[in-house]
Amino acid sequence: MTKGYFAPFIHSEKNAPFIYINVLIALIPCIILAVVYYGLRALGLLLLSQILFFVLDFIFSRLLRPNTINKDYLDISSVISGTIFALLLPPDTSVDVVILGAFIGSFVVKQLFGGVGTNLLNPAIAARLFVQVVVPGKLMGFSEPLTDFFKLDTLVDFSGRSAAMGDASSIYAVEVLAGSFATFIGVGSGIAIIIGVFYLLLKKIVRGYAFFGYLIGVLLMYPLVHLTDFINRNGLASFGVFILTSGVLFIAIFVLGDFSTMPINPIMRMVVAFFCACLTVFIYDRVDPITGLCAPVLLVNIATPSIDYYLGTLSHKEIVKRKAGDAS
Amino acid sequence: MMTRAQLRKMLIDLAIMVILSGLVISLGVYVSYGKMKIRKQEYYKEIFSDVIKAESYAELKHDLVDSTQGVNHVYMAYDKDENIIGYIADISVFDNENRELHSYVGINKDGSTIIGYKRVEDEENPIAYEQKEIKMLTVQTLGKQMPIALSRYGSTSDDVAYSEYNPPAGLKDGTYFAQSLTLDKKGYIDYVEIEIMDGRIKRVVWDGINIDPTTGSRNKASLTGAYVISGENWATQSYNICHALIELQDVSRLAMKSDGTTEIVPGVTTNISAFVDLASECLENSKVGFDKNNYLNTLAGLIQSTGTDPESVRDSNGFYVYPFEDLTMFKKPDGSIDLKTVYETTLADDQLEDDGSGEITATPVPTSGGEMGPEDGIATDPNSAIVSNSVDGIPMSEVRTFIPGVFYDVPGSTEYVTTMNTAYKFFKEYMNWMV
Repeated sequence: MTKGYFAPFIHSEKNAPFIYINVLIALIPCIILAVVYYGLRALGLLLLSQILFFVLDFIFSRLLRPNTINKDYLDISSVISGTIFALLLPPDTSVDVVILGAFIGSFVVKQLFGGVGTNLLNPAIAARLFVQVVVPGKLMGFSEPLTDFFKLDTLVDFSGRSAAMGDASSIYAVEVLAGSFATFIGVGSGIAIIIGVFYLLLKKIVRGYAFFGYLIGVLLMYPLVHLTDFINRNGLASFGVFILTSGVLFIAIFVLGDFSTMPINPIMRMVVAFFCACLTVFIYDRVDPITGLCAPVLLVNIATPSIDYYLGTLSHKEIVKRKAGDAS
Repeated sequence: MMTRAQLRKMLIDLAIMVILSGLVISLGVYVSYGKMKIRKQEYYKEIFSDVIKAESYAELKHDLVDSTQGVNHVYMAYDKDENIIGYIADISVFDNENRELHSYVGINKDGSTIIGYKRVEDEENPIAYEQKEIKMLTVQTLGKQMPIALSRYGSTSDDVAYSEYNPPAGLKDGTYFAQSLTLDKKGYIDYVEIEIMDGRIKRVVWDGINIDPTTGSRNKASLTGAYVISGENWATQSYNICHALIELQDVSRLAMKSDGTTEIVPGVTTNISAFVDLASECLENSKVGFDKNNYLNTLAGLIQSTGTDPESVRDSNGFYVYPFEDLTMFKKPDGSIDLKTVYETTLADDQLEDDGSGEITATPVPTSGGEMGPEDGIATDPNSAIVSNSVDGIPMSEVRTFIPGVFYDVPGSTEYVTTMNTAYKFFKEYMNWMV
């Protein structure tokens, strides 16, 4: 039976592939930064992650839903997931971590929950937190940037490298801006992320509710959590360093901008992003940075369906009404 | 589907983003790189100045750093003229309970001598050293050559199961010494030193001093590659034969064949006849209580009899580096010198008077090797298996420095020793000493 809908139909150039490609373009500064700073191994991690997320999504979507999948639709969101996952890795990560992460992100988090647009959690963030919990020893290789461009052996060093993460609070301001200290390969430079933010906002790919909600949350919560720093007049400097180097900007724009795992209602999107930021700032110094960044996002993801259902776009009445209409 | 116009627009956006990102990141790298270098040097100075004070430091990038177990990083220390003044090895050593000792070890530019030490104190599960213990160990090792061992390994040989073998009867406690009175082809004078304790052989040293004072000992020369023989390096072979003697307690059990080699000591392929002769002489000397001091005094008298001041040919270790070429009247037809004859005709009376014991009834006689096993190359006890002794996988013969360690906590000192020996293993390979 064919289902009919009444006109007018809204045609927009901003369909899903268009949005995803633009998000990928916005990630270009972070990708270039990763390759310039950490060389071929960063490029290897990025390519492997993108390919694995894409290929696994392609395979599992056809295996799990052979009759309902639109075979003409190319799911570029998996490439974005792969990129975000890789950019949140330390530079000396081995490929087995990427393979594990891609499997979890693509199969468990995304395809088992219905595939593109229906996943409960952000695949990249869930996968990144998963590998952090399961194989933390393999995620401790924070070598200094700009040291060995052609180094590739870390990709196959399955024992796990160990080099401490850089302390952004003890570096020069220009280094903070450029992100030239040992951190995750793509989130150290606030400037690179800000270029992406401007691109997405100017192109109106994202509306900025979640981004600004998250920033407001950080802005309000940080002085409360770090009251002593502000009393000692170091607060503003440490706040600036936190904003630019911790990865909160990256999460705010590239993770909370995701349509399928955040509330549809713009105001609610801002509210949950605000609470996500508060939780992040509160726990960031108490846990490892990845847990601090990713766990609040996943909590927000989990709460999103309920928020949409009870407070968001569709009222309970309307849902019941539509269901009744479909049944008749 | 995307239209052609959309695609074109997107490609333009992509190009703009790539160019913009490239420009911004290039500028960022250009501006921050200099600052990063300054910051890095400040950081290095903060953590390394206690180990080696230098103008600048740089990390050593080498495959050996990754492949040497226990070595986390190695840094080079430079003076203001950019000359290397030493190395700093970042080393982690774990004990049986997985407790860690994380250290920075300063090594001189030759990669041989310890010139600085600092415990990093960032271990998650640290070995419980007190500051005074670290200080005690540091004082014992600064300025000393690697590898090192605790002196309990060097003064006695507890690790060698020698109780099965009885020593020759009549050995008197003390340190006994014998040196060859002729040079070998490369100008080395062989010497053997044996320490007898409780009537048993407890320590044996076999080495050679060169007639050329600028050339080091044969042991050292073999480690630096200046003295090369077939098979294991000479230092290792010397070590192996010395410990074979400690285990077997008698020279005759070494089963030297008529060609001067032995087949019962693993890793020893060199001619051991000089060792056998000198060790036998030491044991004979021990039986009559003719100790090292008496022996050296005898040599001094011999040298003096040629008109040479003995002190002028004495090296810093107290050895007389003298070829004895002028003592033609004492030479036998085969060119060797019978110290017994020398001793009896020129010095024995003086020595006995000086010694004051008056009990010496026999004079030391170098043995000819005729006391070997019942057949050529056959030991008295063919089942003798030689136990190689080593510290941290390094043969004891390579050990350059013995330290007492922390006396009341000897096991705790071993991780410190292992730290130094880990650095030694790295620099031995890195400096390519064995080539």
